[in-house]
Amino acid sequence: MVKFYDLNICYQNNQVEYLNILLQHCFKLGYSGLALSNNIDLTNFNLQTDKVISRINIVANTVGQVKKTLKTLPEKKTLISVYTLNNSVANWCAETGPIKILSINLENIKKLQRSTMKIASENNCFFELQLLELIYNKDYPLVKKISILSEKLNKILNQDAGLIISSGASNIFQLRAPRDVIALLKIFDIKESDAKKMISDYPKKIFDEYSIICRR
Amino acid sequence: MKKRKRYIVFQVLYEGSLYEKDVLKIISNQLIRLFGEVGASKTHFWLHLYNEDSKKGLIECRHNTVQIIRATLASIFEFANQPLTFYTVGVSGTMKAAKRKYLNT
Repeated sequence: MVKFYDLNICYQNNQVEYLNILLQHCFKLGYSGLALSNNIDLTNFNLQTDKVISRINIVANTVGQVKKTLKTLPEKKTLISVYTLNNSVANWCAETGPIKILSINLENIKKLQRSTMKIASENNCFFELQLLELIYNKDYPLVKKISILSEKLNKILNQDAGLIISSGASNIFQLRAPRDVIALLKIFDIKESDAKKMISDYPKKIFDEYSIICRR
Repeated sequence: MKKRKRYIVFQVLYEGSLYEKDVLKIISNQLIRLFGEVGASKTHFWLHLYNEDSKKGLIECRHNTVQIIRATLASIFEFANQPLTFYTVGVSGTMKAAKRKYLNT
């Protein structure tokens, strides 16, 4: 049976009850593993910790900013993602071990270079696109959004770089069932087999790696 | 030759009242917005039922257009300036099985 993963639940509220509802809703939709983007002690929650890992999102425009943030992180048990508009930062992050995910959106995907994709592919670093960007972004007309994303996402996939899709959800309205996500990616000219890898195989690799580290 | 059909059961998340005519309008408009009138017509989409209390519904479409309907449902995110989400609960080959498995009727 295929297992699905959502590696970006961006919970911004401090209400424990709502977070529990959100996580349980994810499992009900069919996700087997989740990454929670918040500094929350998971022991406060009534859930199986082997199904949830923690994650930190860094937004930086210089390598120095990334290095500074990395120094403040207490342990290597957290999944780290970086969002940047700067290509040299992206290249540095792609070849630096602790950073597993490079977040992409409609802004920085246009600047993404082949060299970054190649470095990421060689160093087991994954690009990540959020569902929020696909569904909720109103900055671009739909036609433009589809044309940019179909071109760039397929370029990433053709370079054999790992590409994952996650929700970026902070409430239950922003979540979608995994098989609905696969269908949605078809709009962006992504083959069903690639879409399955984006929500299952690639995130599974990351999730397994970090859940093993966390259990040690 | 008889055309093969699929029946998609969906669930709506919306913090307000949503009537069958609204659901039909929302889905059809989004289907046309994403795939155009020609693309939409090929799905042979039809909303068979929608229960306003449970907020569950049943859509009929051609078997080779299930992904189009799923993508349409997944891409809907608001109605009357309030968040709205559709989930696919399940897909079945007959209406009877769809109702039995996913609507408990």
